[in-house]
Amino acid sequence: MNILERIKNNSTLYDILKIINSNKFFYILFFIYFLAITLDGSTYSTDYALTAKISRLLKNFARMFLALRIICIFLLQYKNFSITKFKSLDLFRKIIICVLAILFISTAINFLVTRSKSLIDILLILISASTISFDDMCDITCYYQLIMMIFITFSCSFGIISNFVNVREDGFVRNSLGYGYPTNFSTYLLGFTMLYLYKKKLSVRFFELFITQLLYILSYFLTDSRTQLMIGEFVILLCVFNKLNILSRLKKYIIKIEKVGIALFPLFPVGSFLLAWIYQLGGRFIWDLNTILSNRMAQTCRAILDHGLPLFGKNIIFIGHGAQDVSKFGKVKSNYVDNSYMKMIFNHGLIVLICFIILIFICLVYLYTKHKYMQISLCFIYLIFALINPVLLAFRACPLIFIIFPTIIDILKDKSLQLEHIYRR
Amino acid sequence: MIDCLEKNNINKFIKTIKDKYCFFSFYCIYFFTIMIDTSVYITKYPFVDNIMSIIRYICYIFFLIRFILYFFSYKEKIFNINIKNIILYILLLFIFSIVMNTILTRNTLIPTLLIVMMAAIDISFDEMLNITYKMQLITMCFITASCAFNIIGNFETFRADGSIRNSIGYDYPTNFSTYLLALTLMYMFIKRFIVENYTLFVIQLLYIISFFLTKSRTQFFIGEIVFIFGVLYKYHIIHKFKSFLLKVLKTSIYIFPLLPITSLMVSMFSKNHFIMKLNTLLNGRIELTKLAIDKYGISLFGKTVDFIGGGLSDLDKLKAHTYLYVDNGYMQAILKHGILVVLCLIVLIFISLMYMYSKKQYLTVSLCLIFLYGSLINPWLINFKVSPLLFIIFPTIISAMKENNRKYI
Repeated sequence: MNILERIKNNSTLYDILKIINSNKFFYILFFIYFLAITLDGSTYSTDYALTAKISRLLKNFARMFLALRIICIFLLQYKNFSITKFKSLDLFRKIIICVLAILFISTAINFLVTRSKSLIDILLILISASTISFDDMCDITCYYQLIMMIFITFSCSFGIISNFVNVREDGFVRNSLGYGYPTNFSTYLLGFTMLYLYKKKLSVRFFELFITQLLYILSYFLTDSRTQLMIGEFVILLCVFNKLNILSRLKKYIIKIEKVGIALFPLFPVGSFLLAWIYQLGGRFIWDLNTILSNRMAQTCRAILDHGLPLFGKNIIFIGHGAQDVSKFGKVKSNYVDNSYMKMIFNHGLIVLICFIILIFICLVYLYTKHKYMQISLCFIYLIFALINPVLLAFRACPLIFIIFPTIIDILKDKSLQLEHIYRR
Repeated sequence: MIDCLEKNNINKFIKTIKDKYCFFSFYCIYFFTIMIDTSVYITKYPFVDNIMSIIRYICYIFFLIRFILYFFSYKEKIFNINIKNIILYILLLFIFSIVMNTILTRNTLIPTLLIVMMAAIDISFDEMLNITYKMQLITMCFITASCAFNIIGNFETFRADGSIRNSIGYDYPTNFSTYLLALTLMYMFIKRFIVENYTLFVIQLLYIISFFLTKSRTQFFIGEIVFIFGVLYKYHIIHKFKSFLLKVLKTSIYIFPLLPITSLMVSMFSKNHFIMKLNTLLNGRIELTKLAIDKYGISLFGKTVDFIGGGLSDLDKLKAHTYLYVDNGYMQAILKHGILVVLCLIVLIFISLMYMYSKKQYLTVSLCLIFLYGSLINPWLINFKVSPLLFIIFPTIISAMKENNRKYI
């Protein structure tokens, strides 16, 4: 009698397993973890010393049950997988599993090298959420972002926590509304509005469209975050085009653009590296570009020169101008790397980045073959946004990485799909 | 042949003017101009004021023509109304008092509002709510965007505790929160509170951001009450207390005509210990009302009153004079337009509310009552920018008169 059969005989234990395996249980754990990282990223962490302890407690609690959930998932859902079955798989699926295996191994090495649990946490959540579809994850993230935003801004408005103020070089005052850094507010705002518009397939009513527009304007007025405003306006424009049926007329071209985009996406990290690297060459154009990008090129170039491109990441302390960093280090010169791809190399290593890029690439190609153009568009917005903001692995702002496991599982299950089909598409 | 063609053209013209959507187009333009009047555009670019005035007068001409056309095409029905009907006399008295107020004070506010109200005679209140909230939202986006992109300035005022209040492009910080509250209220009532959780949360977030920016407590407080009501309504909790709430609603309708008298009495006894405490709670509103009554007195047809508030447009006046602004909607109307106008208005609104209550339009009645009770501490009574409350009068009164039923009085 194997373990599963023994458990099945014990009805109480089996019921508990089923509860842990349920989506609702994951949503609760996800909420707890979400709350913990929200507290960490707000001025609660700088105003109240107790916050760090509460947050750690919540995170450990969530980690414990997430691990338990993964065991349950493997016991109840992926129980049939074995080495003999691996051998029977085709090359394409073998590559996928190998990439996953390399990702897990490099995560473990990254933990040993840096002692940072962030990547382990991400993988714990991703594997736990592997039974939940990407759309459901977007939906739940949208609501959690909104609830947390209400919680943090409410706390700030009523003086429970402080409003961290950051002054730009031109003297413009940027408000964080209780978050650790002004940009966070606008990023989360952009995050949940985008997810909602995605959920509605861009078919929103007048009120929702204008309220979203008003929120973007207010966010820009408060935080002066230009990138978020630009992306937000782009999404609103898409909604207007959709309302006017322009998008359906342009569908043919959009699909082609998406195809080219998928093919070019693996070059994003390479491009990011080159863009930072050429800063050394100097010249008026590069300096101007660096100014437009708010000194991002210079800071990334400095980081490359100082730390190189570590295979398994390094324990680098990136100091920004956020509330937490200011309270820890005072007002020092920022060495923060905003580019997600480059930041991933420094924090988690080149191998982890390559694994993620391969997996996301495979997912995008698969979604393209399944004609899920809306999902691809959403992913692209995030992938482009990740070029100037560290959001790629930050599922609090962007749930993009939740696409990986459900899609990979679909690919592994979909026997009809062969590598040549994808290549032909 | 030519005569026939001309007749056809005239008929087409009349049909176009009487068309609902033509009215809505002009109303949208009119609404936009009155909203721009409350923004920093007027002080930063004085020529905008002239342009807005010209556009507004064009709209008034259209509204007047529309009403006249409406009047002539329905004159038989109108003249068929029972002459003994008391509502008709109240209506006539209302129009007479407005004319008198205009002659005596040279104040064109209320006659122009009357023209707009009369032009919207065949438009239902729900339709007016719908168009008003949409226009509020569009103009709000326009004004706040103008401010965010530095086309117009952000007017900052300071509370006594030192907290900064931002106007975000409006003439005064409270304007932003008031319009936001009004438009969200209208939206939720139009949707009969059948809104998604997402929308409810987004509205909540907007209230918080608005409070963070403007520190407007009243608006936030009312917003929160409506938000809680919305949640309870959505999840059918409120339906359990329906009979009790209907009684509350009916009582509120009966109490509402007493609000102007109560406001007046409270101002008269402003030295009372309890009222002094209330005055502190209301940021000195009662004391200011008393001062205004002492200065201008109460008259039958109103007086030329020059209120000096803390807004950007009153900044120059504040240098020479002391702050004197009456926030109470009823008292402001009494001082500006006279007791008779307010009295007629209260009676007409009361009849309209009773009529709608009898037709079981409870949510619309509730919305009107929120604006009417809110008028105790904010000048919302005669203010299209915040509440389209006055548009309830003519369509309801006409329906009531057609039914020739006295039970509503």
